[in-house]
Amino acid sequence: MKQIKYILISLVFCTVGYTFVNQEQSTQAFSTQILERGAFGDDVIELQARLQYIGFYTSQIDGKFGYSTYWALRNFQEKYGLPVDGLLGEKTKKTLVKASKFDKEFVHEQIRKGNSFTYYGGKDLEKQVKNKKPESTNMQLPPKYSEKDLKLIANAVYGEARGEPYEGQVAVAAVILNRVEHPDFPNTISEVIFQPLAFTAVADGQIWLEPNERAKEAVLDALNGWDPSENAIYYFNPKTATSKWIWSRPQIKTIGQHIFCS
Amino acid sequence: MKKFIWIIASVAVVIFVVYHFSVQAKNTRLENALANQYSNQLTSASEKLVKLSDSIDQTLLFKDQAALQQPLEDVWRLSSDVRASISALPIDSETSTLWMNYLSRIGNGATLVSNGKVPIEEWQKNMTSARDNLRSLSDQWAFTNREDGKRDYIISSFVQNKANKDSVESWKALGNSVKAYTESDFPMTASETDQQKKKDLKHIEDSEVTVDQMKQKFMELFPELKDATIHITESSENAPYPFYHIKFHKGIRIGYADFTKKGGHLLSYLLERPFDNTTISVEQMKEKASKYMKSFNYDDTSLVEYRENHIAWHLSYARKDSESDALIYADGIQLKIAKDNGELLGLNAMEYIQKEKIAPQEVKPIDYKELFSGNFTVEEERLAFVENKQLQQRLAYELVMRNDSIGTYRIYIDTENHEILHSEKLP
Repeated sequence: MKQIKYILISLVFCTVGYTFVNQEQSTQAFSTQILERGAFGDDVIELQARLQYIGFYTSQIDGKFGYSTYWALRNFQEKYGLPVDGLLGEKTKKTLVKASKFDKEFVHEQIRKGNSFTYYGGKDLEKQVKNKKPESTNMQLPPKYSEKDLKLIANAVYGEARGEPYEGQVAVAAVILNRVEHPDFPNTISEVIFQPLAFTAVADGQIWLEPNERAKEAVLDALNGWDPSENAIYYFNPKTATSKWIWSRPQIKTIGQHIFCS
Repeated sequence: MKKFIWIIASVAVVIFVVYHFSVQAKNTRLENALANQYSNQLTSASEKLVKLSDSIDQTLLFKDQAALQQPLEDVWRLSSDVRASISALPIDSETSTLWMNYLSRIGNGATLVSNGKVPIEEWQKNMTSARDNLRSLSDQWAFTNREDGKRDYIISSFVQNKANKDSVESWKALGNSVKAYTESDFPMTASETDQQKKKDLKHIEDSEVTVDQMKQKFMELFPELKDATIHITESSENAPYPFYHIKFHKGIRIGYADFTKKGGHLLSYLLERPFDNTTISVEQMKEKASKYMKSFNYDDTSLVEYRENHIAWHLSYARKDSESDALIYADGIQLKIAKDNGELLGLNAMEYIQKEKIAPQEVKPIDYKELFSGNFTVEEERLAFVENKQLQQRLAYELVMRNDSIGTYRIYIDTENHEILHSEKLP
């Protein structure tokens, strides 16, 4: 009798243990974060890959939880009888993990290499890898701007102001954006940057240097609305400026080596 | 005599070396100038291709003839613009002709639809693949550089081709074909009347605050920086509006805050520091953001959206109209919050300081089925104030429209006259 009791207790422990381990495995892939639109990172990469594996997500796997990921997740929730809220919570994670597969190594390798690829289930993974996709800064931007804009302005900021304080780099990026809006300057970012004699870094070829993360972050802040130049449309370094005309511009403030003017 | 020959020879060598380096420096300058011209043309063409593709997307949204007019006109104008850009590029004539003809067909097609000679449904059917082709070409021509700081290979090959073609002894001929810009070309047309495009902050009527009052207010708003080393300067005499510029430094934190001199309103704040790899949850971030907004007394605002990136979240807030509950985007505030601990890294309230004047406006119901093509569904609807072409704030229906293959769009429609005020593709 005592022996049967021990066996029964052991069985109960085994069952509870198995359920616990199984449950852990089913969601261990994702972190504990609840994801929603606006999120970014490895959890979003996994979400997109898993949704694509079962055919709900057809866009690029880029780790950015935008609208295409949001609609795909809602469609999945609807199909699997889950609350349709577009949030990746615990219940949705479990259901998604059960319904799909995720080859983390494969997916992250393609992203690291900058390859254009898909991750549909039932197809040979190697055949889903295409040529290299266009260079990406991998950042989430306001809808008005593209990654190409960020890349071009970051090159200009790095070429013009890499030795300046962070505030000064944001200000240089803001001047470029202020010029695009200003009636006396061209209407596109590239035309503003490549306008003859507008920027020293363009004239001496420093525009082609690869910008660092700090310059990109500074541009990101400017694209999100920060303008430490206080609406300036010109700036110059008083130690190196050769133009007398630039001294006639109404000055606003000095940041680092640059005087910002309207 | 031997000594004399040596002197002559040495002088000749020195002259030759100086000449050689001066010619080389001139050639490098010319090469840069040419590369810049081509970069401008290529990047500009790439940007226009994206705009053309966006305009085509918008022609897929509507079926109402009035709503279609503007995007169709944009397609015609932009296709012509891109043709002009392509014609200026030194690409081979076969590729150039192919693309010129393709763009001509798109432009002509838009005109025919606009004149009612081609049904919109037929145009919409053909354009779904055209937009992909345009995007693909745009990606190829986007500004890029190699990791070692060299030029884009397309630009390098353009420059090389041009140099080879005009190889009348080094770069002499090229010098004539590239415009040599001088200081006289520098734009001297800065408008004196448009110094303040966002808000006319010089018209603030509050009383001026002193440097000491400003310092005290800064400490009150940012108590965690009370031991920081701070340096306060005033804006230059000719600045369009007077403000205080505060630079601060505390341990690993360095940053700035600008305040208006009249009233001491916070214009913007930004700090820089190293970051840890940890990430707080979205709920914690939202709680912190809400706490910050309360501490700054921005009580009449609502969170519109947020975007996560490597080190921080960027959040957008807009003021809410107390009458209609509509969002007023022109009175916006942006926050930047650290992912590692939720610290406030930045705040931008430049547009919020002076509130927009909102006039009452009628809200007439609208039939979306009449306005939009059947390919799109309206997923979200709310009211918001946005600018029309005359820069007046208009109450609008803000819609989120969805099509799984074309994308998601946000569209603003005037609630009174049902004019399409603005539309944008959402990422």
